Amino acid sequence: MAVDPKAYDPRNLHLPELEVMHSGHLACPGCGAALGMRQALKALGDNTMVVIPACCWAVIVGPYPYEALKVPVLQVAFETAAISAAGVRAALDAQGKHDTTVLAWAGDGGTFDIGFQSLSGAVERNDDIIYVCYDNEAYMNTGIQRSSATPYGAWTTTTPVEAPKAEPKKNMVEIMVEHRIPYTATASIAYPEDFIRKLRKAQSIRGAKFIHLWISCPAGHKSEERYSVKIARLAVETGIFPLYEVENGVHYTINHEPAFTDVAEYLRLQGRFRHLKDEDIETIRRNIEWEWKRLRAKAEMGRTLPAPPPPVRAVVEEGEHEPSTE
Amino acid sequence: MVEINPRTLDDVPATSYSDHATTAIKTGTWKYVQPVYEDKLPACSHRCPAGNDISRFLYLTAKGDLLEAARWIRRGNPLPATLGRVCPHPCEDECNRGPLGGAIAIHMMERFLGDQGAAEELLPERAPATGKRVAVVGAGPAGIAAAYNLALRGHEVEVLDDKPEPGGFLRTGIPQYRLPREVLDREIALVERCGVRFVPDTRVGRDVSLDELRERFDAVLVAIGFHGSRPLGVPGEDHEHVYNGVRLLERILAGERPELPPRMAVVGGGNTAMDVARSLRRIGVEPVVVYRRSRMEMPAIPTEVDEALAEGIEMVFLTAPKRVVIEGGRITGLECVKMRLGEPDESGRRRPVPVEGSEHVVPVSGIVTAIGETAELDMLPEPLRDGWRVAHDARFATPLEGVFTAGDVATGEGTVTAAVGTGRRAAAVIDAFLRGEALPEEAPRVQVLWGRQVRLDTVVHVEQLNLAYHKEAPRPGIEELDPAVRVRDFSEVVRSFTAERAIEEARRCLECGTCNECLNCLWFCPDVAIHKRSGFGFDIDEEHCKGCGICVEECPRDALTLVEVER
Ligand SMILES: Cc1cc2nc3c(=O)[nH]c(=O)nc-3n(C[C@H](O)[C@H](O)[C@H](O)COP(=O)(O)OP(=O)(O)OC[C@H]3O[C@@H](n4cnc5c(N)ncnc54)[C@H](O)[C@@H]3O)c2cc1C
Ligand SMILES: Cc1ncc(C[n+]2csc(CCOP(=O)(O)OP(=O)(O)O)c2C)c(N)n1
Ligand SMILES: [Mg+2]
Repeated sequence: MAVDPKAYDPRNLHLPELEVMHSGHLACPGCGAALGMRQALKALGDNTMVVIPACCWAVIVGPYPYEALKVPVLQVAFETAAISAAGVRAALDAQGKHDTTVLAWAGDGGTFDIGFQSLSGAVERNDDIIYVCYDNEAYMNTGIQRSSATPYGAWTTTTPVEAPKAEPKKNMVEIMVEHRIPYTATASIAYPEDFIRKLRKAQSIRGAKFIHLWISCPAGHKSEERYSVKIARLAVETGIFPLYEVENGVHYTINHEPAFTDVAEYLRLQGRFRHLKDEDIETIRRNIEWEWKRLRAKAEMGRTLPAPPPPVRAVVEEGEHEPSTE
Repeated sequence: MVEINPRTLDDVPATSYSDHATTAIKTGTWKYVQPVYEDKLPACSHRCPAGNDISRFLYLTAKGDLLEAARWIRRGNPLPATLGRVCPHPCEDECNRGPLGGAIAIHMMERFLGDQGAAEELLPERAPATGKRVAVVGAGPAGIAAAYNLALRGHEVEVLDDKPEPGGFLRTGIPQYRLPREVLDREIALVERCGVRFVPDTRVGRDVSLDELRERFDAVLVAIGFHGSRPLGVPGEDHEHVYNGVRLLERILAGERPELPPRMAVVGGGNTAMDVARSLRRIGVEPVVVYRRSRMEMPAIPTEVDEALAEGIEMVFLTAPKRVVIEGGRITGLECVKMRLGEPDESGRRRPVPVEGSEHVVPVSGIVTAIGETAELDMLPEPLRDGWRVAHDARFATPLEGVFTAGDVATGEGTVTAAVGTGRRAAAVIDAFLRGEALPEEAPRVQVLWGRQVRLDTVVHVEQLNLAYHKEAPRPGIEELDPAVRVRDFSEVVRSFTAERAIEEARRCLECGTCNECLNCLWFCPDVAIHKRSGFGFDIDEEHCKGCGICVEECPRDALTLVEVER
C-alpha cells in the first residue's frame, strides 16, 4: 500500500514539542509578541539566553520575582539590546559556553529608533547574536506612540486620525542587508514553521543575524484579540509583509508567494486604519505593488551577482543544524 | 504567590533576580469569554436523511481504523452497504470539500465500510431484554431499520412481509447491477443476528388483520411502502403487452425471463423507468424511454440517467403518451404528443404543456409504465387512511394507540435513505412508548440518536471553516464496468474502492465541526494554556487562559466555540 493506514497525521503544522515559556505571563489577551516568543524558544531550545530592553516584553516576562521563560533573561536599557547581547555573548565565550545561543528580543521602537545606533554597531562588528525585532508598529508599552516602523496611514496616539502617519514605514530589513551581515530574514507568527526554520538557520550561522518578526497587537492595532493570527496571516497574504531571507547581503530568497489578497481585507480588521479613505487604500495598494517589484528585482539581481569579494564578514557554518521539525 | 516583603537591606538582592515561574499568576481571571471544545453538525450529516455520522466514520477510516469505522456506521443504520450503492447522496451536494477539489465520495465510503467486517465483530451490543414485542409490517428499508434499532434496544421484533423474501423494493425494485443480492442478504442476515425474526408471505389485511397484530404485540409499525400501481390514463392500456414497470421488474429480478416484445416504450423519468429500461436492455429487449419533461426535471438519480445513456438507451424527452396504437390485436406503437415547459408547478419543476398538432407515433410493440407508485391502504383500518399516506403525527404515531408508521407510506419521500431515517426515528419513539416513558413532542432528529456529543443547532458550512488550512485535493475517479460489457448481464456496474483508496479519500475529508486533534489550537495559544490529554482531545488551563479566542479562530474546522464566562 502506498498509503500507510496507521500513519494518519491531522496536523497542519509540525512544530517542536519543547515548551520554554510559562503560562501566567503578563501579555494582553491575543498578544502576538507572546506567541512569537513561544515559537522562537521552541526553535532555539533551552540553551538560550534572552536579552530584553524596555518594551512590552520587559513587562510580559513578569514582575519580580516571577519569570515567564525557562531560560535566563537579562533586562537592559531601551537603546542597548544588541550591544548587551553582544556582551553576554563575549562573557559566555570567555566561559567556554560557545553553544549557548544569545537572543536579543526587542520591539520596533527599540530597534528602528532608539536602539538603532547600537544595533548598527553590533552587526557591523558581526557580533555573534540573533536579533529578533518583534514589530507591532508602534511604541505599545507606553501607550501607542508612533515609531519609524508605524505604517503609512496608521492611527497612533501621536498620529491622530486628523493627521495620521504621512511617512512610509522604514525598511529596516534592507538597512540590515546593507550591513552585509550573514543572515537577514522576515517572519510572521502566522507562519511558525517558516519562523522556526529561520531561527534554526540563524543558530547555525556564526555572526550577526537579524530577523524581523511581524506581530499583531490587539490593544495597539484596535483589532479583535481572536484575529491576531488571522491579521498576521493577512499581512503576508496581502503582500504588505513579504516573507523572505537574505544571505550575505546579496542572495534573496522569497519564502512565500502571497495570494495577494486585497489589502482592504487586512486594513478593515484593524481600527487603526478605520479612518482611511478609498484613495488612501489605493495609495497603499500601489505601494505594495511597487515594493514587490523592487523585492523581485533584488532577488533577480542576487541570482546573477557573485558573492561579494573579500573582506567579507560572513562566517557561515552551513548545514550545522539543518532545520528539523521535531 | 510569593511574598515580597524585605525587612532589611540584606533581604534585597544586589541585582533583582526572578526565579519563580509566572504560572503562579492566575491570568485566567482576566477573561470574560472562554473557548470550549464543541463538535458541531457538518453540512453533509445535516443533509443525510438516514442520519449517518459521516465526519466520525471518515475520521476513523483516515486513522486506518476500518473495523471501528464500520462498527460506527452500523450503530443505528443496518444498511450502509446498500445505501452506499443506491443512495442519491444529497450529503455530497453539501460537502464543504466541493470547491476544494470536489466533494468527498461519501457514498463510496459508506459502501466500502458497509462491506467491511465479519458478522461477529460488527454489531453493537443489545440492551437487556425488555419482554416487549413489536410487529413491523413491511420488510423494506424502513421496516428493517426500525426492527434493527428496536431489537438493539432489547425488544422482540417480528417483521411481516407479503413477499417471499425481505427487502421491499431493495429486492423487488432495485436491480442487481446496482445492488448485488449478496450485499443485501448479508445486511439482512446481520439484522437477523440481532434477534429480528422475518416472517415472509404474510400479508396484513389478508393473512392477518392489523387488529390481531395489535392484540398479539405491544406495538405495531406500518411500513408497507408504495405498492399500488397508477394507471397511465390512455386508451389501450389494458392490452396484455402494456406492463406495470414495478411488477415486471420484480419478475425479471427474481430470475424470470418472460416472453416480451422486442422493442418497448418505457413511460416515465424516475428510477423505476431507468431500472426497467436498463433491465430490459440486459435481457435483450430494446427500450425507448418516453418522458414528458426534459432531462433536467427527471426525478431519477442523475448518475443513473448517465449510466443508462452510456448503455445506449434511447430517450425521448418532452413527449407524453396519448394512446396505445393497436393493429390486428398487436401493439404497433405509442401515439404521443410533444410537450413544452410552461410555468413551474407545486414541485418547482416547470409544468409540461402539450404542443397542439404535434401528435406522432413512437414505433414499439410493447409498453411499460413507470410513472410512480402509490400507497395501497384498503386493507388498513379506516382511521389509518389519509389520502396517499398513513395518518400520523410528528412522532410517527397513528391515530390508533400503539400503531406507528415509517418509510414511503408515511412521508412519500421515495428514497431508501429517508426510509432508513424515518425507521430509526420511529423506533426511538416506539422504544419510549414501550418503556412507558412520556412520548416526545416530535420524533427525535436522527443526529440526536448518534450517541456522540454534537451541537445540533449550528451547521458547519464553508463560511465557518478556516480555509487557510485546507488545500485543494482532487476527488478520485469512480470506476465502472465498460458499458458494452455490463449490458450483457446483471453484474454490478460500479467498482468498490480499495482499502487504500478509501483511506486516502477519508484523509481528504475536512472533518467539519469535528475535532481531529490537528493541534492548531495548542500551537497558537499565546498563553500556553492548552494541553494535549493523554486520551483524545485537549484540556484548557482555565487558570491561565485569557480568553483571547485565537484557538477558536485558528481551528480549521469550527470545533471550538467562544462562550461568555459565567460569574
Ligand atoms: C425500481 C425502483 C428503483 C428505486 N431506486 C432507488 C434508488 O436508487 N435509491 C433510492 O434511494 N430509492 C430508490 N427507490 C425507492 C426506494 O426503493 C423506496 O423509497 C424505499 O424502498 C421505501 O422503503 P419502505 O421501507 O418505505 O418500503 P418498501 O421498500 O416499499 O417496502 C415495503 C414492503 O412492505 C410490503 N407490503 C406492502 N403491503 C403489505 C401488507 N399489507 N402486508 C405485508 N407486507 C406488505 C411490500 O411488499 C414491501 O416488501 C427505488 C424504487 C423503485 C421501485
Ligand atoms: C531611554 C528610554 N526612553 C523611554 C523609555 C520608555 N519606554 C519604555 S518601553 C517604550 C516603548 C517601547 O516600544 P517598542 O520598542 O516598540 O516596544 P513595544 O512596547 O511596542 O513592545 C518606551 C518609550 C525607556 N524605558 N527608556
Ligand atoms: Mg512596538
